Amino acid sequence: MKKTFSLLFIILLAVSVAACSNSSNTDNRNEPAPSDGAAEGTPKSGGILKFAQSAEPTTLNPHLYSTLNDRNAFLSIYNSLMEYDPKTLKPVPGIVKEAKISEDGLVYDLTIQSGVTFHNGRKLTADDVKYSLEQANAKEATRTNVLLKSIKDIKVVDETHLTVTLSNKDSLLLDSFIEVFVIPNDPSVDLVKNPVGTGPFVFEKWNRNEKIVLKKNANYWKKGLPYLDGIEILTVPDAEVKNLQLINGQVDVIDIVPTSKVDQVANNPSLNLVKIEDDVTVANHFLLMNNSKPPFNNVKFRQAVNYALDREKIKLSLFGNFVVRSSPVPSGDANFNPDATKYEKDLDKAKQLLQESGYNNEKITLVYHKIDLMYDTVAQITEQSLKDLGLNVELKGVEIAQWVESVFNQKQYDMALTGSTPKPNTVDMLNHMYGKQNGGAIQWENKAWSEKLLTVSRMPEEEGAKVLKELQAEVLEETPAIIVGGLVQAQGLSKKVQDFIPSPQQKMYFESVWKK
Amino acid sequence: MLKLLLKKLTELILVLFFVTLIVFFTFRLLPGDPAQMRLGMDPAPEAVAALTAEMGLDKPLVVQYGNWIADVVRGDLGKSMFDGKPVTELLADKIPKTFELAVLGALLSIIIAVPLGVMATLKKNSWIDKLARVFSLFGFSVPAYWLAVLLMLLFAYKLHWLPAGGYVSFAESPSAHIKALILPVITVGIINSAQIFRFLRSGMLEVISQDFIRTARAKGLSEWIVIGKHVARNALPSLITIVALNFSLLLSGMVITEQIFAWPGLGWLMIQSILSRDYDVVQAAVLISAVFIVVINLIADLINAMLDPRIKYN
Repeated sequence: MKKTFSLLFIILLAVSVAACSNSSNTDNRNEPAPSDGAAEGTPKSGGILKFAQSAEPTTLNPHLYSTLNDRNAFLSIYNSLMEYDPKTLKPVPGIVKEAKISEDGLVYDLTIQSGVTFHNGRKLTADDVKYSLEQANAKEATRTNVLLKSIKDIKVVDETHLTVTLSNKDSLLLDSFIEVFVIPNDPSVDLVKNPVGTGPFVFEKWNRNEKIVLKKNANYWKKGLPYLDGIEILTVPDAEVKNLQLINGQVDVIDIVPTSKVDQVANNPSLNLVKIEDDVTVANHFLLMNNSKPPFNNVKFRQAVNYALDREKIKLSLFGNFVVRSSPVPSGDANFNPDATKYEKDLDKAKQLLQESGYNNEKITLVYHKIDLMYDTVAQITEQSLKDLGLNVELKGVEIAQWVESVFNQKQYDMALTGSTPKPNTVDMLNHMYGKQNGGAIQWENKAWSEKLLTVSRMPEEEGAKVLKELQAEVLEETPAIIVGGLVQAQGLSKKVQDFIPSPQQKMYFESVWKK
Repeated sequence: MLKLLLKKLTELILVLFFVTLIVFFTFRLLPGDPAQMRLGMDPAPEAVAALTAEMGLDKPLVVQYGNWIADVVRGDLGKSMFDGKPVTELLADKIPKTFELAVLGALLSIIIAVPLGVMATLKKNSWIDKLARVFSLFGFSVPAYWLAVLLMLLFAYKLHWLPAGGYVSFAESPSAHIKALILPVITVGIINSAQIFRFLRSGMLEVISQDFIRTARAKGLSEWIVIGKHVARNALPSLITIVALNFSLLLSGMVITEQIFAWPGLGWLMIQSILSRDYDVVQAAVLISAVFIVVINLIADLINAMLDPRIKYN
C-alpha cells in the first residue's frame, strides 16, 4: 500500500515538474530585451497573420465600440481621417489628404484622398466623410463625440472637398480625427453584421468566439499595401493559454504578454517582445476617489494616500513592467512638468497628513476592475499600502458590468482602481484622468482648472505648453485622483512577423506588417 | 410506461417553468445596465433611455417576462444585444460544439471508469483497487483548470504533440479538429470518470454481497458469468443514473473547460453573455441547458424502468 502511494506520488510529481518547468532556452532570467519589431529584410507579400486577443469584440461598428478588443478587430477594416506618425505620434494625413486652417482657426478646408473605394466597390466621396463625422459626433458615439464638441457645421463643397466650421478654436481637432473612422453613407450597409470600410483588409466572416476572418483588400488605395493575404482574429480568454499558443506557434501575435511571462517571451529565440518605452507610456494604473464625500473631499487625505503608495513594490511584483510615477504625463512628454509634486513614498508624512485630515477610521471599500493577474497584483499592493497608512480598507474585485454600474453610472463607490489609456497628447492625458473623460466619476469640482485645460487647444503652442505645466502642478497638488503608476503591457510576436510598430494606445495596426 | 412518460413530461414542463422564472428574475437582480454596457463610458442619458426602450427594458419586469415567455413559445429566443444576431442562430452554432466535447468526454469517462470499476470490484483491496481509488480521488480533487493547464504544458509546450487550446472546424481541417479535441476531452473524461468509478464500484460491491450472487456462485457458475450476467445487470440502473447525472454536471462544467481551451461552445457563450448582461442570450442558453438536463434524466429514468421491473414510479 505504502509503496503504491509512494510510486503514484513520484509519478504525479514528475509529470507536474516536467510540465511546469521551463525549457533550457528559457531558463535564464536575463533582463528581457524588448524589440520594436523592426524589419529584417525586404517586405514580401503573402501569409495569413493569426492574432489572439483576450476578449471577444462586442461590435465592429467603429462609432459604437466600447472596448480595446473591439477597436483591434475593426482597425484593419476602416481608415481614419488622420493617422499617427508612429515615430513622432503627430497626426499625418489619412483619408484627409490636406487640411487648410483659416487664420482665426475656426474653418478647416479638408481635401480627401482621391481614388479611394469602399470594399463594396463604391467610390469614397466627401459626403461619406461628412456622414462619418456626424456618426462619430452622435450622442451614442461616447468614445468620440467628446473629442468633436467644437464642430459647429460640416458642408460638402464637391466630391473631394468639405468644410468643417468650429464654434471655438480647437488645435487638437486633427489629432481627434485619428479616432474618426470612415464608413459609407449607405443605409443598406450593416456595420455590425457586414462592415464595409476603405481599410487594408476586407471583412469576410465572424463566428463568435471562434474567429474573425479578414482578407487582403486588393484595391487598397495605399499602393503596395497590405502585404498580408489576410488576418484571423482569435479570442483566447486565458492569458497563460494565449501565451502558450504564441510559444507553440499556433498564433503569430498576442495582444498582451502576462507580466510573469515577459522574460520567457523575451528570451525565446523564436519570439519578439514589443513594448512602448517607459518614458512615453501613456497608460496608467488609475486610482479614483469619490471626491463628493468625506474623507475623499479632503485634500490632505488624498495627499496622504498618494504618499503612502508603495510604487517600487508594485514594480518589483510585476517583474519591472510598471512605471513608477504619480503624474499622468510621462517624463518623455514635451509638456511634462518635472517640478510638480512627485509623491515618492513617505509613510511618516502620509500618516501626519492623515491625522491632519481628521480621518476617523471610517470603513473604505476599494473596488477594482478584475481583469487579470496584473490588476490583482496592483490592487493587493495598493490595499496593503492603505492598510499600512492606517486606513480601514476592504478590497473587492468586480467584473466589468458591476464596475460600469457602480463607478461610472451610479457613482456610488469610495475608491476604485482600474487601467486607463488616454490619447498621446497632454490635454487628453489630463482630461482623461481628472476631467470629463473619466465619466465625471471622481466628481471633482474645479471648474477653473477644467475650463483652462479646454482652452489650451485654442492657444499658441508655447503658451499652451506653459499652461499645461501649471495645470499639472495644480492638479497633482490637489490630487483628486491618483496615478498609481504607468501601465506597461507588452505584445508578443513571432519572429516571422515584421514591421509591427507598437502603439501607445495599444492599437494593433497590421497595414504594413509582413511575414517572413 | 405511457403513464410514466406523461407524468415525467408534466414534471419537465413544471421544472422548465420554474427555470424560466429563476433565470429571468435573478439575472435582473445583478448590478449592471445592458444599455449602459452597450454604450460604454458616460453616455448621454437620452441615448441610454432610447436604447433601453429599444431593448424593451423600460417596461415593468412582469410584462418583460410575459413577452419573453410568449416569444419563447413561438420559437423566438430573441437577439443578442451586441451583434444583433438571432439567439437561435447563435445556439445552433454553439450547441453542437459543446455536445461534441461533452459526448466524447462522457464516453471517455465510461471507457475509463467501467473497466476500472469492474476490476476494482473483482479484486477488492488489491493493488489495482487501491490504484483505481487513488485515481478516483485525484479526479475528484483536481480542478479542471489545473488539469487543463498541466496537460497543455506537457503535450503542447513540452512535447509539441497537440495544440494549446483553440478551435478548428472539422470542415476546415479534420486532423486539426481532432487534435484540438484531444486535450479538452481528456480533461473532461478524467474529471468525470472519477465519479462514475466511485458509484459503479460501490454499486457493484453492494450487488456482489447479495444472497442471489452467493447462490449463483454456489451453483458453480464461473466468476465471469456471475459478474457479466448477474452483477452487471443489477448494477446497470445505478450506472445509467450516475452517467445521466454526470452528463448534467459535465454540461455545467463546460463553462470552465471551454473558456480555458478557447472552445467556442455554449458554456463560453453563457459566461460571456452573463458578463456583458446580454439578457436574451443568457436566458436562452440556461433554458436550453435545463431542457437537455431534464430530458437526459427523463431518458435515464425510462431506461431504468425498462431494465428493472422492480422500479415503479408512483
